[in-house]
Amino acid sequence: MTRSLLRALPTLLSLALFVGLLIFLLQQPGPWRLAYWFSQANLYFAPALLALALTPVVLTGGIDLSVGSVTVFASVVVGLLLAKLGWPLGPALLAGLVVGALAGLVNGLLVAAGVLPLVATLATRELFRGLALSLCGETALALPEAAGDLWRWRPFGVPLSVWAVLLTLGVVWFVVHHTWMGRMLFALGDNATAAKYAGVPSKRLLVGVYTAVGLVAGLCGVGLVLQYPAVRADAEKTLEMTAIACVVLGGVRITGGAGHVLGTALGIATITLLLVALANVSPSVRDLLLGVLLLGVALTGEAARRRAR
Amino acid sequence: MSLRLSRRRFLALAAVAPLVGCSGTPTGSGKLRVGFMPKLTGIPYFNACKKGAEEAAGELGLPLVYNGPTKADSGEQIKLLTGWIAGGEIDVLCLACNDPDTLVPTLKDARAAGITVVTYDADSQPAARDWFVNMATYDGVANLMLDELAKQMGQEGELAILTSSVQAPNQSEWAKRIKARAKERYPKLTILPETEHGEDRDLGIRKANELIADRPMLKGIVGLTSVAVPAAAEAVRQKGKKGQIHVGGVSTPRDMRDYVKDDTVASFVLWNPIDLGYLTVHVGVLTRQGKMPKDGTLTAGRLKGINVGGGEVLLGEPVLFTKENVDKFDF
Repeated sequence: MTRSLLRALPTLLSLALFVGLLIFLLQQPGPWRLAYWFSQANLYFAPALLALALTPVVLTGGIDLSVGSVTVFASVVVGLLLAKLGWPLGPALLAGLVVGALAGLVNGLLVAAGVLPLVATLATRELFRGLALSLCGETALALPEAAGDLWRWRPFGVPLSVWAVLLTLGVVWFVVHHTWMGRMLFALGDNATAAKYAGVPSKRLLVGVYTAVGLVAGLCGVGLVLQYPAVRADAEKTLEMTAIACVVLGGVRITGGAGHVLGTALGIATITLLLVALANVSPSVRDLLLGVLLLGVALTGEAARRRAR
Repeated sequence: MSLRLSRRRFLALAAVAPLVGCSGTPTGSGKLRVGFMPKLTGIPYFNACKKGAEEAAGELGLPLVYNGPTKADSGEQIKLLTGWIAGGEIDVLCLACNDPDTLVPTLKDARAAGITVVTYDADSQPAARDWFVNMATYDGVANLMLDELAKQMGQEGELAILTSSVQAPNQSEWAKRIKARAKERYPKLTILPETEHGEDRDLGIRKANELIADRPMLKGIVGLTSVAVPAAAEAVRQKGKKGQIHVGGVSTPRDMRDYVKDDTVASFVLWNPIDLGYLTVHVGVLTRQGKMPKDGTLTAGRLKGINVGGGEVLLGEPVLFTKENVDKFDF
């Protein structure tokens, strides 16, 4: 009884913080309206999507530090196709998804070949940011007006960004917790050697989850193109850190093998509330607070694990 | 489910619509809330704008909401604006844009929510706002800056441009005009490509020092932001190049007082930022009340004979600040 309570400590911490922030925000009239949250979701959908896609990767004991760079790289490619080559919207957006998936495939092949995920994706993080910068430089690239209309489309009154997060949550939750692939992710993260002898197709699984992250990063890149009428190669420099923070705060064990997609969802909700509540604080203070929060989660998580043993 | 919801929402809208119509009509009611946002907070120039905005809001008896990012970043502005717009916190928005393009969707959301949008100091794409309050024409400022420096430099040598970033709206327009006018009027003057300092004082000093060290033919630096000019002056002072390298550009008396008094800088250019903030709030409220003329001249509180036309409101001609008048201004 106490053991399971201790294990749940980081989750409870996140939940308490979530409730506290919500009470703080509801002091004002704006957050009582649904439209307020739809607008905020449009700002913070990218880290949410990436956190969901990263959860299976972290469950295998891996990490992907390149998600922010891949997102920006995909957005720059789409931007160039639209603005410089005059591609129609549909094919250009599709190309963004393909570029993201290919970048993820590179990560997956590196990790499957035995390169440490931290090292492999640190390298590709610089690689894809560098590619984006060499494609469009440090200046903003203005896009044709038409791209923004799709972003304003609200099926059933709900913005596309919210749909994307909900659908991704559904897919990741189903795959991780209700398929054989999900069970193998946990097995691989718990003990890679045992998983191998048990016949888990580790390499194919790794290539798959990293490619999926790349695809979602491509989707985020497409979202950025639709949202803003200009793309920048030096944008979104803390995207991967925010996304990883959501996963960790959600109680997914960073060394793999344990965690729940709904935990990540809670982490996303908490971090998003934190960012909304701190919108008028300087970005450096915001990063500092996020760092302190993660440290707190890491320490309580570690303490809980020791006690539980 | 969704159908029922939308029908209910439609009924709610139908019930509320006449009320909204009432409050939106030009009655001049004292309940308009004015949001005023600078490019960044905490620098004398925008503090002066804020002072003028507060003066105007006080005269009109309206509450003023003031907030802005701590660094000049359009993404940070979008986050704050989203809170204001989605939270229904303001009726009139006055904004100095860090980027003409990126803010467009947010400003369109604001106008869709019934908010009057007036940009000041730095414009957005014209389609995204109701008015731009221009402090002085781009030509007026660029010509005065260049002519003053060219005179000091004896119309020859290299002139460096220290700017915030190449795509900053005002700065890019000024730089373009400085280059064009130099080519036409001062053939012996070489304009170097822009150097960026991101409105960061320390970075500005470092970049100016590098320019002085790397370019033996350098005879002048023109700073295009209120931070760039004192940074360049500081570098010239540190290197002991007073009188050899001339510094000018756009800055504020408070930032420049020291350097003008010890003759590191002979003159710099500006308009009155207090008047700019003051005029911006008046234009926003007049627009909201339906009293704004499409073109012609305008009286806004204590400011008279303001030119209006082409979606822009013009504060006036730029002012040259020197040792003689720099003490008369407290911003």
